[in-house]
Amino acid sequence: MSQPELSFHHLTQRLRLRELPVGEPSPDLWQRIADTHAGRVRRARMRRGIAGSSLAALVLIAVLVVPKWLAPAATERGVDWQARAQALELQLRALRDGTGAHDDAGAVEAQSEIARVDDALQTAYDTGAERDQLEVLWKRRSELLGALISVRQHHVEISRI
Amino acid sequence: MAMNDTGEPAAGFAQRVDAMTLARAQAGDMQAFAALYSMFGRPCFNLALRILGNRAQAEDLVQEIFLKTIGTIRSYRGEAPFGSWLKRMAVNAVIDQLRGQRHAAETDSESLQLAEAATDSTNPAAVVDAWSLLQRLPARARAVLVLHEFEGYTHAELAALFGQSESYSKSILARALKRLGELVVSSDESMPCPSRN
Repeated sequence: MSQPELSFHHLTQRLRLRELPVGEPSPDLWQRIADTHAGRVRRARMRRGIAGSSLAALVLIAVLVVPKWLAPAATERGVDWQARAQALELQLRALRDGTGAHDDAGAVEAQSEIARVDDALQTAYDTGAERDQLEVLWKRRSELLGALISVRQHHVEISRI
Repeated sequence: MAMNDTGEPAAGFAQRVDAMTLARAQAGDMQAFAALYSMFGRPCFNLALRILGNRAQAEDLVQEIFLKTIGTIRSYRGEAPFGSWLKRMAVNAVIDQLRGQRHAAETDSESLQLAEAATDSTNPAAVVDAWSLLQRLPARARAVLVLHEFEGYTHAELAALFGQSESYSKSILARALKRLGELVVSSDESMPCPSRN
């Protein structure tokens, strides 16, 4: 014999299902929720603090260190000793043409030194020297030309007096 | 106390939340969340308890629901009553919990039959206790029953919730009701009949 089937309406009446809810959560449940939330907020703040400190440290390192890394390169890029030497050469030539004066011993010595530097430059180019080595020689040549120009300018002033 | 459209005191998820409380909650005011919990903590708990059948699990789920509410309430735009919004979140959390349970597979027909076979209908202590009878149903069958018959979900909505077809939902519900009916009858038979004594 098959068992009778009950409708849900009958079941709800028979079982009083509508009265089912069954109780209250623990009185301290909200406090547990609030505490858990507060803990999560604290941990999130801590993570943000750590991340912020790390970022600040990175920025500090970038501000302090990176310019030092870039400085030498900027200096090298900032002074083209070869071009400077060529400009000084023209300036010196103009001075020589303008005065027609004879060089003194110091100037002659400077010119000799410039000639030695020119030889060294030629050798450096012939042997495929590094850029740094060439820069050193062009810088030396510029310094010698500058000194020679100073001597000749001084000589011009004396002549005019 | 919040009232419903007929002027009667609203209960459960149908309670209305005043705009000020919502605004304070959306601004992160924990006292406002405490007020929301005092209104909806019990409905959430009962929904979870009816389906999960375990107080500790139900409380854990309520905690999860309210923590999620605290985190997401800013996304609530008021298109639906807050209670409906929260209820949807609660139901989704319960369904997710069921999906994660080891016995989630007991929704299929075989599992339902196993649950039926495991019930000792000759036990004289099996009094008509709605709660204990509900607990004899597999978790997903119980979920379908509770959501359809108590919370008013349609089969289409249940199908979407469970990621199944409507016929799946109807089938599970029909089997769950049949099983409950059988349990009621067997309980009646196992109880002494006063008229014969």
